[in-house]
Amino acid sequence: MSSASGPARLARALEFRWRIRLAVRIAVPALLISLTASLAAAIIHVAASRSLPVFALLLLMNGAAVAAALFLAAIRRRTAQALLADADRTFNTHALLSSAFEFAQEDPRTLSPTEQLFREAVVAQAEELTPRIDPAAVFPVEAPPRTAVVAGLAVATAVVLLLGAAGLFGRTELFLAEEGFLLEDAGRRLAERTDQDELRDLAEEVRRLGERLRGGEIGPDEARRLIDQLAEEVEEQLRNLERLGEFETNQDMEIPPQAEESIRSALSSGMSEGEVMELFMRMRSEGQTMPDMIEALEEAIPDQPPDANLALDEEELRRLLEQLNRRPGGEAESDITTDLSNTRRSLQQAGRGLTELTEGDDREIGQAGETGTGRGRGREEREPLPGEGDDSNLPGTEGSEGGDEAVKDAMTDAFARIEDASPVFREIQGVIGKGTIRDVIVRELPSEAVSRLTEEERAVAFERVIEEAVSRENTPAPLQRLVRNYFLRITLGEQEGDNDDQQ
Amino acid sequence: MISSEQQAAAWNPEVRERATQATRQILRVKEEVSRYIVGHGSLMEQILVCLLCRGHALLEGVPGLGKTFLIKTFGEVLDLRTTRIQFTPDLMPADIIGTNVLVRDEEGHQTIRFQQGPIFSQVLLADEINRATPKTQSALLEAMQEQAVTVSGRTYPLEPPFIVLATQNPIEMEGTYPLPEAQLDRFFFKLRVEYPDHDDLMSIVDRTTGQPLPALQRVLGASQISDLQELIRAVPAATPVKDYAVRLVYATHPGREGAIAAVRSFVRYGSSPRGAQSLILAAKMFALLDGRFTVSHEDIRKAALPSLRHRLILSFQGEAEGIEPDAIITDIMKTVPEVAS
Repeated sequence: MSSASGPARLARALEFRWRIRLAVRIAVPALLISLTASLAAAIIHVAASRSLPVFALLLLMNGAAVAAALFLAAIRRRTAQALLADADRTFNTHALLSSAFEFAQEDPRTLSPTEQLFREAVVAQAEELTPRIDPAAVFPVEAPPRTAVVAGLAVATAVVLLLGAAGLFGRTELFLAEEGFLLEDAGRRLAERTDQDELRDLAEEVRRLGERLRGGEIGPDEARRLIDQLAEEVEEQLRNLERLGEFETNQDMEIPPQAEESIRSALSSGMSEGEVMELFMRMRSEGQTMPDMIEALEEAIPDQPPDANLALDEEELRRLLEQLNRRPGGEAESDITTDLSNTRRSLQQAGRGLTELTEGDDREIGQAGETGTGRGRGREEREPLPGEGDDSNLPGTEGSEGGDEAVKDAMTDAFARIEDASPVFREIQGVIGKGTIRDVIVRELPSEAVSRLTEEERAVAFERVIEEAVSRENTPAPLQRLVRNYFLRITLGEQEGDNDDQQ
Repeated sequence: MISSEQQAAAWNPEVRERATQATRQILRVKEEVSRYIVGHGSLMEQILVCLLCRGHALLEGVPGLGKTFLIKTFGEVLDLRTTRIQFTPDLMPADIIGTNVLVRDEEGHQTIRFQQGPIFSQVLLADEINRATPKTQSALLEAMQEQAVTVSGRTYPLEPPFIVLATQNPIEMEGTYPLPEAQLDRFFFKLRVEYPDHDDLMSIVDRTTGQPLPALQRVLGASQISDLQELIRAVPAATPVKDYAVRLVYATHPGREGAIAAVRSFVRYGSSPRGAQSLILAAKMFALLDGRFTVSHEDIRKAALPSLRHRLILSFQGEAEGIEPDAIITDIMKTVPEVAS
C-alpha cells in the first residue's frame, strides 16, 4: 500500500481542516485581547485627545494576535491516525479509517494468510469509503462562543475611530474654541494698546476671528485660511515696527551732549548713579523720548547746592553715559511689538494645532510606515515655535541671536506688567567675553511686585509664559494642551481687590 | 506492502465468506439455545465469546435464574463432550481431576492406572463453584490455564476445546468459599445473570409449564469451533485501539498517575494483564459478530465490564461501602479518552 492511499490522502485533507479550525479557535481569544486593547487605544486617542499612533497600534496588536494563532496552529502536531480516528467517530465507521491507515503500511510478510486477508479487507473497505468522507464535516470551522464579542469589539473600535475622524467627539470644536479665546484676547489687547488705525483694524480682525472661532461660526478649513491670512498681516506689521524701532533708537535714544550737563548737575546735587540710571531706564521702558527724559531728570535734581566732591571724573562719567546709551538688554521692543508678537504666536499656534487635528492621523500612518516604529512625528521634527532657538534658552543673552524670541517676548511682557514696582539695580563684577573684568549694572526682576493686571490678563500672561517654558522642555504636544486647558479653566474672580494679588 | 492488485482483490469472496460463515454458525448456536432459553440474548452471546476466544465464563446470579439450565443447554447444543460437577464443600480435587487407582488385570497383575475425573471433557459445567473448598477450587487452576492436569507428576492434556462454565450464587454466604483472586483471573468473563423482565418471565412460564420442547440439535462441533477460534484471532486491531484497551486496564490501578478518585478510593488492586488480553480478544469477536473486520473502540467498551469486573480487587473501603466494580469501570470508560493525548 503506498502512502498515497485513500486514508493517507484523507488524513492530509483532515490535517488541513484541523489546522484551520485550530487557528480560528486560538485567534478568537487572542483577538479578544488585542481588540480590547485596540478599543482602549482608540478611545484614548480620540476621546482623550492623545496623539497615539492608533492605526499602527491596531495593525500591530491584531496582526500579532492573528500571527500567533497561525503560528500555534502550525506547530501543533496530531498524527494522521488520530485525525482519521476523529473521522471514524464523526461518521461512525468503527475505527475503520484509522485502522486501514495503519494496516496499509504494515509489512504483510510478518502476517499469517488469514491476518493478511482481514487487513486487505479493511484497507479495501476504507478505500471505498474515503471518497465519501468530507473533511469539513469532521472539522467544521465553527465560530467559537466569543466570536460575537470579538466582532463587537472590532465594530466598536471602528466606530470610535470613525467618529473621532469625523470630529463628533468635539475635539476640533474644543480646540477652535480654545484658540478663539486666545486670539480674541490677543486682538483686544493689541487694539487697546495701539493708536494706529491700520494696527487697530488688524487687531479688530484678530479679535473678530477669535470671537467667531469661539462661537463655532466657522469650520476648520475656513479658520485655517483666515488664520494664515492674518498671520501674514501681523508678520508684515512686525517687520514695519522693527524698522521703525531701529530708526527711533538711532534718532532719539542717543544721549545728546547737552544732556551730559544735566547728568553732571544731578550727580553733584546728590543723586546716585543708580537713581539716574533707574530714571532713564524706566522712562525708556515707557517709550519716552530723550528730551522728555532730560526734562524729567532736571526736575528730579534735588534742590541743594552742587557738591564738587560728589561729581564724577571724566572717565566715570563716560562710562555712565555709555551705559545709559545702551538699550536695556540689547533690545527695546515696545508693548505693541510684544502684543503683535503674541498675536502672531497665537495665530501660528492655532494654525499648527488645526493642521495636527485634521491631518494628524494621516501623518501617523505615514510616519509609522516610514519609520516602522508606529510613532507619529515628534516635537523635534516640527517647525520651531517663534523665538524657539537651537542653542540657548536664556533671554537677552549674547549669542542667542534672538533665537528665543518667544521667551524674550514673555519677559518683556512681564516687565511691562510690573510698572508699579521699582526695579532693583545691582552692581556686580563679572567676566564678559574673553575675560576683561569689569563692573556692570544689571536690572533684575523685583523680588516682590504688585500686578496692575486684571485676573483675566494675568491668567493669559501666565499661560503664555508657562506655555513657552513647557515648549522649551521638549514637552509633548498633548501635555502642552493640558497646561493650557488648566489656565482656561481658571474661574475669574469678580472683586477688583483680587487684582492686588502678588504676581 | 500490499499491492494495488491485492487491494482490488481484497473484496474477493474468501474473507467475506469465511466471516459470514462464522457469523452464521454463531447465530445458529444462539438460535438453538434460544429455543430453550428465554431472553438472556446478550448473556448467550458473551458465553459464545468465551467459547470462541478459548476462555472460561463465570456466571453469577441469584438462585432460580436458569444459570445451570443455560450452560447445560449450551453443552447440549455444542457437539462437545460435556460434564457437570455439582460443587459441594466435601468435594475433593481428585473428584474433579481423577486419581490413580490400583487395577488388577486378567492375569492377576496389579498396575496403577489413572482414572480420569469429570474434568476430562470439552465443556465442564461447574455448578455452584463457590461451594467447594479453596483446595478443590484450585484443582481447576492448571486445567483452566494450561488445558492440562498433572497427577503424580504426570501431565494429562485436556481435549480441546476445553471450556469451564461455572456458576455461583452471590447472596449465599453460609457454607461458601469465595474464589481466590488467582482463580477468578482465570475466567475470561464474569457474567451477571439478571432477573428476567415481565415478557420474558411470561414466556418462561409458558415454556416450562406446557408440553416438552423438541430436543436440541448439536450445531457446532469441535473442529468448527477450532476454526472459528483461529479466525477470531486473525481479526486485526489497530494500535490506537489496542492502546485504548491497555489504557483502560491501566486506569483500574489506584497507584497509576491519573487514576480517578473512585479507583484510588475503592480499588486495592487493578486488573491483571489477562484483563487486557480478554478485552482485545472479546472485542475481536464482537467486531466479527457485527460484520466488521477490524476492532473498534466500541468493541473494547462492550467487552470491558465482563472482562474487568472480576479482576478489580476492592479495598476494604470499597467492600464496606458496597461499591460495585461495574460502577468503577463505567467511570473509567467515561474518563479515558479514545485517543491518547
